[in-house]
Amino acid sequence: MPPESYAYAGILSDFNVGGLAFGDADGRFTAPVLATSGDALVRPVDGVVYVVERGTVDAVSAVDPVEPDAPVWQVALPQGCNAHDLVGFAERLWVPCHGTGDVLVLDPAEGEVVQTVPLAHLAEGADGNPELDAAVVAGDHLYVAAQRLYDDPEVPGVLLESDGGLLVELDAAGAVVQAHEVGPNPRISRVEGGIAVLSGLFVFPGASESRATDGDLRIFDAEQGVLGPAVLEETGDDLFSAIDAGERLVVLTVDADSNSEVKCVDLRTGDVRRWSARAGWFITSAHRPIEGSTIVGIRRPPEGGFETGVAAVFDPVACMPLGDAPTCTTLEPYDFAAL
Amino acid sequence: MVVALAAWAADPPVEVVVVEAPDVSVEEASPASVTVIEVDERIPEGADLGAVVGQASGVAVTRLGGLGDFASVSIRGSTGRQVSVFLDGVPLNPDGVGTVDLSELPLRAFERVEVWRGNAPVGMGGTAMGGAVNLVTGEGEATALAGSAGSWTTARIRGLASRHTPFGNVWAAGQYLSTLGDYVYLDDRGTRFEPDDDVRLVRGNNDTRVGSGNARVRVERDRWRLTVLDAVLARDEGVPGFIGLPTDQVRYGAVQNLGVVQLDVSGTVPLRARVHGRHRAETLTDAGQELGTGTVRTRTTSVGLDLQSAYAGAPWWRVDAAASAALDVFGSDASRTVLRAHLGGTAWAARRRVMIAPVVSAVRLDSRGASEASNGAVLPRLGVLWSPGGVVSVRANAGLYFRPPDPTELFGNRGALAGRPDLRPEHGSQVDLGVRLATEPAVLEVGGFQSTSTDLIVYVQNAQQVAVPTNLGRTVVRGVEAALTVRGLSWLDVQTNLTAMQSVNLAEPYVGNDLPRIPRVQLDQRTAYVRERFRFGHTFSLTDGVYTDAANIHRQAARPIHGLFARVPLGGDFTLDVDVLNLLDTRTQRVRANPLDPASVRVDTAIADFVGYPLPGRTLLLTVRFEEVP
Repeated sequence: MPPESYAYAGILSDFNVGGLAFGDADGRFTAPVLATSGDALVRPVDGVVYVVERGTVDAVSAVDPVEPDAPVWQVALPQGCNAHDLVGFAERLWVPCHGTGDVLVLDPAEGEVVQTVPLAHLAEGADGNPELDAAVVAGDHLYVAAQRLYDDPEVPGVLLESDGGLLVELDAAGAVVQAHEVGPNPRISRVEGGIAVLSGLFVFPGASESRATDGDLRIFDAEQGVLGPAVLEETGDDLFSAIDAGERLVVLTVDADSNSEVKCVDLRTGDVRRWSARAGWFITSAHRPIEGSTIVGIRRPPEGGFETGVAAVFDPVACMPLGDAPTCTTLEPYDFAAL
Repeated sequence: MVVALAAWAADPPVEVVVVEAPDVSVEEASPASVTVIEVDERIPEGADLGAVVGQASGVAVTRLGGLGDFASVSIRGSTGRQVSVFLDGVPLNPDGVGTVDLSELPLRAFERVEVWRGNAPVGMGGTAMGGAVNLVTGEGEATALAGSAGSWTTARIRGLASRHTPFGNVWAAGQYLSTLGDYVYLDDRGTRFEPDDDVRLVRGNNDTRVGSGNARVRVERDRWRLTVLDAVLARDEGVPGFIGLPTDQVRYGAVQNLGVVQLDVSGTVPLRARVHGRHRAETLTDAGQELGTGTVRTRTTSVGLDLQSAYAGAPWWRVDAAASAALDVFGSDASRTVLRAHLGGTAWAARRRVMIAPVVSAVRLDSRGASEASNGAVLPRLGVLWSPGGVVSVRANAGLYFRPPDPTELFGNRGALAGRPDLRPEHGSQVDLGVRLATEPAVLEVGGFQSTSTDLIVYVQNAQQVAVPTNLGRTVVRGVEAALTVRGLSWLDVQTNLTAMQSVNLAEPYVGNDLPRIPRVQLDQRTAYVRERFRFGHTFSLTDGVYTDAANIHRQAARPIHGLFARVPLGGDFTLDVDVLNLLDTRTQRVRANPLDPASVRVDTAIADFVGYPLPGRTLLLTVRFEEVP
């Protein structure tokens, strides 16, 4: 596949190891060309593909899609950062750290960390960490989701609580303009008319202590600084990703039994169409549309052995796949971004 | 007559009711592929149980790092759960309940270690897919006390005493190990293409304190013998985390007690009855969410009853029978019962040159907890030993094996591991063929094997980063194994084990890939020069490069590790032992910066084992030892 036909960059993964690959508009992907960790993210900015490695690696690599097997530069992030996103804003790269509560500002030329914006003071509870997640740019400000999670001492394990999250508004100098209160554990994305805010508590699927949590989707009007009413409310579902797909919002959800669903929301009428993955299938990610469609990564279940994961091109109006293209390796689609 | 060791090998044959005491070794008297390692002066003081077990053919020991750190055993490419570990025949991980940490077991408390590859005796469950490791305590009188000090602020003290008293044989052994594990390792900071930012760090939060005590009393009369054994363990250690994500505060603690009461009654139809109970409580404390698991507490309690008997109807045949019932309780949520029955026989033919040992095992498990599950299997096996006379013997084995999902796999641990009550048991088959040449002064064993597994249970992370156990794989591991032992010379002691394996993943989407962490070649060599009580020797371990992931992207380089050991008499019953582990201080490896690009530049990374924990460099251990053997 020639680089000029690349429409997406993606991380293919088996949740243990991963690799950077490129896909065309039909969802066909190359073999992985650059080894990454299993839960890396891919973020294209100004023609450069940035690979954000989280958790045990904590590094950012700048990759030229034409010569992707060796990064242009690679930089280690401060220990414990656990980067959860990377966005271009004010000619810099902004990286929210879930682990430390800082937003790192990188020089895109060499990857040097030129500024650290500490947001730990926005934490809730005793852990001193606001758990920063995604960031989006709206207008001339940057908005960073602070999930404000804390461990429930009554429930051992990774079940987490959050009484309410924040949408932290930063200006180009890294100053906090305002911290807007939103629902618990917010996950955000840029959509037409503002910022989609998905709220709901952590779900622990499949365990004896699993519990379904209720989630909702609201639109934050960045110009007015106001969080709108719920446009989608779900009982027993975790809403974990929302993608602006032109006429619809494509929302990915999972319930406590690991059943994944795509919900296509018409923001004007409130109409919601649903497409359920087969029981046990995991919908891993989705990304922005190309010419009215979007792409959804589906990880097929290990039923008598793994089947290869697929990247399905999705019609957000009919809310169903138009077809799928198996990713061409043993790894499965984990994270996508349109180039 | 020769006792059917395949049935009684849970204990040395002389301990059991014997019609006629055998004058053959375990290796010579069983069709099974077994390596018996005597824990004697030939074993360097610096070796722990994991190192000793790892010397056996077909065995790979996975370790987490330095002295006292987690070590589990894999036999012929099996998982750790597929290897049953026994202490004097008592299961430490009954029916694959977890993986036994060999570092918790005090090597010097045992007289010998038996490594059964594949066809383990019915006295040891007999259905473990990989095989079994049996740790056998001694019988004779002895007194030993040793104190060690070494690198990484390591201190160890151990003692053993065994006495024949008018009351009976009293035996006790204990060990305490403390180490900071503060060795230096390379952190490439996750940027293989940027070597300028590499740093060398001191491993922190890697301290370990582990103490264990074992006591056994045996009372013997004319027709019966009563054995009471109790083994306690306590450990507290830091969980240091991955190379790129070291932790400051994560701790792991465990306490365990194993109690056994065993009665052996002799006679025409001998009987062994054994009651055993084991309780283990573990706590993983991650208050700061450094690993993201929170605080996880697990409690496992197992109680069991074993009955074994045998009947020799004629000099040329014998029947062995065993039955057991066990109850495993996991926390307050789950439990399971396991019922087993084994019927085996041994027949000799061709003037006792041919031994045929068929066994049929039936297993039934009923799990209760988050959901109900019942599993069962009937598992036939056959072993044949042909001893045509002279120095040669030929053995062949074939059988079916079985492992049910354990409570953690079924019900989760409420931490990062989810449960899945509908898991199917793992099944497998294994065949092997071996030849043994026993001469003076050397014994050579050469064999081949093939084992297959289906419905392998592996943990797969889902989209929410929770590991869910899943029946996945089919695998094939085939290979050849060879062992050479030279002991007949008074001045030379040589032990060499070589295993060449091919492991193949048959599960989609990894068809044709190597299985992770199964080396194609493994060589262990120990050579010692011996002069009276003075010993000087060299150890060499070569582990071929292995893939660390099922996708076969990341490959570790081959690891040649040298060691030296020496023992110097100090006078009286005292000796000084000097052990140097990892003599050449091998801590890094050269790998491709981008393993997906064959032309990629090569860079240094830390040698790491098992989920990315770095291994220590050169380690020195000094031991002063007092040993009196009447």
